[in-house]
Amino acid sequence: MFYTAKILLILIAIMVVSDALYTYVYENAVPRNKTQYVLKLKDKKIDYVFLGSSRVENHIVTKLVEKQTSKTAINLGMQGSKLDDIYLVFKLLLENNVTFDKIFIQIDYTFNNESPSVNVSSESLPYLRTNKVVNAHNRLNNPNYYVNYYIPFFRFASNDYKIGFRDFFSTLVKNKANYNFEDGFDARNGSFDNAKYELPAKISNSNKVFDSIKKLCFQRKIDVVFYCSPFCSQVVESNYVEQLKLKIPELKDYSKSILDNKYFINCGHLNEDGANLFTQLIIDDCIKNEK
Amino acid sequence: MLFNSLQYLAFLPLVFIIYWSFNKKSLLKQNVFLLVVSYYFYACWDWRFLFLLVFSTALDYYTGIKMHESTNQNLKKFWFWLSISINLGFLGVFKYYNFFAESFAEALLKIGIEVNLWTLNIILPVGISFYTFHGLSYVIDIYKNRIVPEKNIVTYSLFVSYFPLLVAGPIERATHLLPQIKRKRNFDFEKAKDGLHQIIWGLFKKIVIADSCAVYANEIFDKYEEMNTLTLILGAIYFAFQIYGDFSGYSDIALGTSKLFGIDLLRNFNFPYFSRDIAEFWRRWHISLSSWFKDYLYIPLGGSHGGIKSKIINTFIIFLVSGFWHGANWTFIIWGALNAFYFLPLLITNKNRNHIDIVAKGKYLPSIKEFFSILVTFSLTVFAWIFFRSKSVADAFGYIKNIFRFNFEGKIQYLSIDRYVIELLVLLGFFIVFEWISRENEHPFFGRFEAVRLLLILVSIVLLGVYSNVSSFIYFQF
Repeated sequence: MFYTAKILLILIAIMVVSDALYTYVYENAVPRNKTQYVLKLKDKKIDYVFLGSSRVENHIVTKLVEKQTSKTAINLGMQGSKLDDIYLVFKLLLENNVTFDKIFIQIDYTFNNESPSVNVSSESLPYLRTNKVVNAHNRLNNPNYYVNYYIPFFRFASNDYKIGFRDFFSTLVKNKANYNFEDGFDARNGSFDNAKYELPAKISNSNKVFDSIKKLCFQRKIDVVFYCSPFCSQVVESNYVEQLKLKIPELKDYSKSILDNKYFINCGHLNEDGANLFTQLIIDDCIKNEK
Repeated sequence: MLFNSLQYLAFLPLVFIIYWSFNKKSLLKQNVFLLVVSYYFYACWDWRFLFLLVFSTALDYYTGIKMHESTNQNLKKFWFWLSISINLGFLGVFKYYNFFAESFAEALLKIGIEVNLWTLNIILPVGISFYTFHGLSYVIDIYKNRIVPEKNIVTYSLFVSYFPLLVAGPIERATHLLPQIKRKRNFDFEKAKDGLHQIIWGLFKKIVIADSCAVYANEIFDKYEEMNTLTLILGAIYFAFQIYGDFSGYSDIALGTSKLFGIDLLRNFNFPYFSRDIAEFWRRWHISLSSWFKDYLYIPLGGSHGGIKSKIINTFIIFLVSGFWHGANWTFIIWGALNAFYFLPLLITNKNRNHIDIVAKGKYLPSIKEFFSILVTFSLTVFAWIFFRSKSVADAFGYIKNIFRFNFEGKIQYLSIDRYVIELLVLLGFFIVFEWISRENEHPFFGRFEAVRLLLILVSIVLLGVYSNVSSFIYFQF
């Protein structure tokens, strides 16, 4: 029994030391993903901020916005991101004193989901003990908050796919991601894949995360645009976006704005030409026309 | 309940403490307790199949006694065949019925007859191949008068259902395990420590080596059509280490767990990837199954006696049955046949028992000849694993065809799981060094640097283990 206890103690010691080391390295890291970039972004003025999933990351050509408006813009769309992740990023921007004229939030079938995504939530976990926004957000939304917080190294081990040794090592050796975070646009290339695509048949009655985002915008008097990005022609018959507009009357619906499949790589994602076309629509509709 | 789950992490210490605290003095208490926890362990997977396990146990227990009591040879034969046919019947229904029904329907379709045979929508009871083979060896041994039947139902039930070996072996023999179960166990610190070390080493193999390799191998095998030659070769190598880490890791945890309770199980792996030819590989890979087939199929068929023709036929039968034992799929049968082909030259030239001892015994490094023999054997094994891993024969041939396209464009391929295909090689190098150092032992924790190695492996388990996607053991499906 004593020998087993000794092994267990060694294991616990390894977990404590590893946790401290990982936390230190992430805390002092050169950003390797957008979550880390947002955490480091402090006291900055950005005119237009775009938040959402890959349907923002691949769709909003930041340079085009800057060129046509002569103002600064950032694309903070993240692959697989859900409303809960958007809310976290939004709160982090506010906490870090990042100011903006207008924030664009892309909403679609994400309205049906209140839980965080695997990607963004795990990318924020290294900062669970050091960032009060990340901490408070997880305390409210993450069912594993207490094990993540109190068991040393648990958060790194249980999310090893994103923040395991491989990512830790790359972070340690200052291996920068091959990505321009100040821009944030990630162009997709390729031809339309014809894969079957369906939007959900039903919409949730409400989404408490969306309500929180809206409330925060109201409290802080933030100019927010909720919009829905284009889908390919195969899903335009879907009733989902119509239902979404009933839930969010102010939603700018671009779901049917581009119908030619040559602008898509799949039913939910535009290619680079499509992204330029769509960004131009947003600029004309939400920025130039509202000046 | 998986050996690599948190549930097992709680289960094992609790069982260990209760076992040694309250059952020290009574053999019956020790065995009853182990039997109860073994049934609980099995029921955690699916309690309904516990009845099948109990029935199978009762059948072999009863027929074993009846055979022994039979004065009439015909009656003895009757009980023997009753047990064999029911045991194989269960295995056939649960594991092979759909395969035969579908293959039969396909064959008829090829000659223009369309039939709509019933297939069964059933799940395979975990461990059925293992505990059935346990029971079969027991019944055959009684029939052949090698052993006498066990009269104590608790002892016999524990022999079949002992939880460390219940779901994926090793396939035990009555002659080895029953005497240990019948003897009261006293706590032996050195044995328990050795068991704990073996569990740690098994966990490392499973969580660090097998599960890391699985991430890459799954991606490469699932999308082999998009992969270049180097990636496909690495995919097959990663699978070779995945299945080795997975199954030998499981066996190490099983053997280690059993040592904690004072019982030694048969060794199932003995550094097979250091084999110098295929015959040696099969003496070191899944030893309990290979020796089972040797003793209960190869030798009764005539074994090595008789002419070269019968030797070849018997060898093919063994490898084909062994392949089929793994699953109802033509991929396993081809895998078995391929290994038989590898084995043939050694059999014909009578060189199949050239390498009995571990390679380079007492030396630091192998000779150049040994090194190349190991490399060739490993390459042959990796090639055969492609069939074992592929979902269908067409996929296996597609995979091999793509390797031989010699497409070296985009040398280091970036996988859609955000990983470079080559990343695992350092880890595997580290693993091979540890295996080489330990090849004359069961695990690397011995000698002067025992503590350092133990620390290194514990650190690796914490830092390099795959925990986000806790996976089952591959051999659970067999």
